[in-house]
Amino acid sequence: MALARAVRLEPDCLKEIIGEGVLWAAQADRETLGTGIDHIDRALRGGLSTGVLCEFVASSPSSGGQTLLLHLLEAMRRERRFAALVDGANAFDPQTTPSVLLEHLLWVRCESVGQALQVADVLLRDENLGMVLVDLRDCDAWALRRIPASDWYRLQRLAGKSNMVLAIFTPRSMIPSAQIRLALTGTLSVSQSDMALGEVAKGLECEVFRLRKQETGEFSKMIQAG
Amino acid sequence: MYAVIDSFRFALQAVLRMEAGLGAWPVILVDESLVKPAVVDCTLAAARAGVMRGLSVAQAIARCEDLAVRYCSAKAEAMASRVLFDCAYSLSPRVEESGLGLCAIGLAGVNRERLEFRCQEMVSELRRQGLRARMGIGATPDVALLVARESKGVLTVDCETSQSLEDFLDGLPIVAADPPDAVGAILEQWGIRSVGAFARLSRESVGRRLGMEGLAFWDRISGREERPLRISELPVIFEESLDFEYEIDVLEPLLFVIRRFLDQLCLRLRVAGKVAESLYLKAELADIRLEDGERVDAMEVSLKMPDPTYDADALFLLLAARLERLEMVAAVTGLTLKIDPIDRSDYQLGLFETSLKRPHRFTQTLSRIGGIVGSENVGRPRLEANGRPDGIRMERLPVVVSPMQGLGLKAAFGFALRRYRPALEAEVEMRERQPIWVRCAKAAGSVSDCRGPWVCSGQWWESGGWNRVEWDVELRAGGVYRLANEMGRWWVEGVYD
Repeated sequence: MALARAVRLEPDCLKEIIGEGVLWAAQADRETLGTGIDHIDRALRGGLSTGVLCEFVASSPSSGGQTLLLHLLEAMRRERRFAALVDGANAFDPQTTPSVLLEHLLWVRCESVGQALQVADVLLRDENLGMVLVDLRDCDAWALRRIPASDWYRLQRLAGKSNMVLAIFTPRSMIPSAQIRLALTGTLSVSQSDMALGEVAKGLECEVFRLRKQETGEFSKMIQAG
Repeated sequence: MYAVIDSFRFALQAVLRMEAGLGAWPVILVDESLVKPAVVDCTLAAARAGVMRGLSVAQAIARCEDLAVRYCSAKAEAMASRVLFDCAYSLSPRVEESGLGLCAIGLAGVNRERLEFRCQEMVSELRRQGLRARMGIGATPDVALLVARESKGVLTVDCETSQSLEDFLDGLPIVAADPPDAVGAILEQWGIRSVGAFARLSRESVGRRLGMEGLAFWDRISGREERPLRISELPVIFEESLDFEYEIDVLEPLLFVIRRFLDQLCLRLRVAGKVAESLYLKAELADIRLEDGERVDAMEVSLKMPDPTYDADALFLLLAARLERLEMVAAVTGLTLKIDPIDRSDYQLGLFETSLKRPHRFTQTLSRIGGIVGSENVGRPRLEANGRPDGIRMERLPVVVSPMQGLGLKAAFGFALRRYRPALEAEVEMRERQPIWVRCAKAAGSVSDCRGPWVCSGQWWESGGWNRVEWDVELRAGGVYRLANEMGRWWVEGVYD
C-alpha cells in the first residue's frame, strides 16, 4: 500500500531507485501455450503463459482435472518439448493415458507434499523442460495447509525466471502467488466414458478467479496494478 | 625433427598432483624400497627448511616440524606417465616413453606451422593435469632432450641451420649432457667445458683417445646420429586407480582425485577420438562392515551418460552430484574409475526433432531428484507387456522428442484414471448383479449409473496372476470410480477425472 502511494506521488523517482528490479518484473518475451480446449483457452486469453504460476483447483472428484492435465501434456508434446509431472500423491495412471503422451514425460512419484515441492524447485531450475506440472490433489490436507506462503512465492519467482509453464493442480484455492487461478466446477458422468477425451474436455466447466499474466506496460501502471 | 617432453622431479610431482594444495607444503618423498628409507626428493618449502636428499625421515622431521611425509608410489608414477604419453600422443602418434617423466616424439609428417605454440599448449595442458614439464625440439631425440633440459617452457633449436645448433651446444656446459664419469673427468683435465667444444673435436680423434664410451657420448651430443624411436601404442583401457597411503573419510579429497582421473581419461578419450558412454566408480572401503549379514568392502557407483561426451567438467559434475547424496559407511582406501568409451556418433537430429538443451545438466537434475524421491521413482513410464493392472516400470527419458503422430486425445476414448495406490478396500452392495451402493475411505453413497462388468485376467498359471471383475460406477453425490472385485473382495482402484 505504502509503495503504491509512493509511486502515485513520485513514480519516476521510484523507478530510478528500484532500477533493475523493474526490469526483472517486465522481463522476457513470454510464450503462450494453448491447452487445446477452446473454451478454457478463451477464458485464459489464449492459454497459459510461460513464466507464470497457474493454479488449477479441482475440489470435487471427477471434475476433469486429469483430462485437463492430459491436454496440457498433449500441447507440450505438439511443441516437441519435455514435460515433467510431479505427482504428489502418486496417482497418475499411465495405463489410461494415451501412450503418445508418455514419450516426452518425466514422471516423478512423490510420497509427500514436501517431496513434491522440493522436486518442483529442482525442476524449475533446469532449462531443459518446457512444462512442470505439480499435482497436489489427494495429498494430505494437513500437510497442504502447512505449506508456508514463502514456498509458493519462491516457486513463482523460479517460474518467472524460467521459460517454462508451471501448472499446479490443487484440491482447493491455496496458492497466494498464483497469477492464474482456474477452478474446475463440473462433474463427469459415467455416460461420457464412451466419448473421446477431446469431446469430454469440451464439456468441462470452469471458472477463472484470477488472471494476471505478467505486465509489460508502464512502470507506474504495473506498481499500481499490484 | 624430434620433440622431447621432460617432466622433471617426476616421482615427487606424481605424488603431489594427487592431493590438493600439497605442492606449497613442505613435503618429502621417501623411498621405502631402500634398505634404510631415505628422502629422495622434497618440495621447495622443505628445502628452505634445510631438508635435503639422503636424510632419514627422522632427520628430516627434526629439521622441519610441519613436514608431510609421502612415499614413492608406483601407481601414481604410472598414472602420471600415462598423462605424459597421452599429451605427447596428441601431437604425433610416434611417441617413445624414453624414461620416467620423459617422452620423445617423432615429428615426421607433423605440420610444422605454429609447432612451438602447440607445444606450449601441451605444456599448459600438463600443468592443468598437475605436472610441470618443459619441451625441447631438436634434430635428434638426444639433442631434443638436451634442449628440453635447458628450456623453461618450449625451446626450439633450429636444425636447418647448423650455426644455431652450434651456438646452443657452445652455451651448454658438458655436465648438462650427463657424460660417463671417466669421460667427464678426462674432458675436465683437457679443459673442455662446453658440449660445443667437445662436439667440434673430430670423431676419429675422440674414438682413438676416449674409446667406445667416448665415441658413444660424442655421437649422442653432436646431433649427427639419429636413433630410431621405440614407439609405444596408445592404451586402449580407459581406467585409472589409486591406493591411498591413508584412509579418507571426507568427500573433498576424493572429489579432487576423481577430477584428476577424469581430466586424464578425458584427455585420452579426446586423443583416441572417443566419448564416454558410462562411468563406473569403485571405492575400496577400509572397514569391512556387516550389513544384514553381508560383507561391505567396496562401494560402487555407475552412471550412464544421456549424451556421450569427453567433457571432463560435465562428467565431474554428474559424478559429484551422485556422490554427494551417497552415505559412506567407512573410510575410503582406494579409488578406481573406469570409462566405457564409444566412437563419436554422427547422429543429426531430424528437421522436426528436438532434444534436451543441456543433457548433462538434466542428468544432474535427475540425480538430485533421485536423491529426494529415490531413483526408482523418476523416469518415463512404460507399460508392462502382460497387461497387469497398474503394471508399469520406469525407464530413462530419451534425449530426443520426435514429432507427434496421430490424432492424440481426439482419438483416445475413455476417462483418465487417478489411481489410489494402494487401492482402497470397499464395501459394495449389489442388486440384480449390479452395484447399487459403495463405501470406501474416500467416497460413499448410492450408485446412480454404472458400466460393466469387465473381466480381466492374466498369468493365471503363475502365483502372481490376476483374475478380477471391474465396474465403473457413478455416485449420486458425484464422482466416477473404478471398482474391482478380486477373490471376493471389493476395491476402489481410483477415480476417473
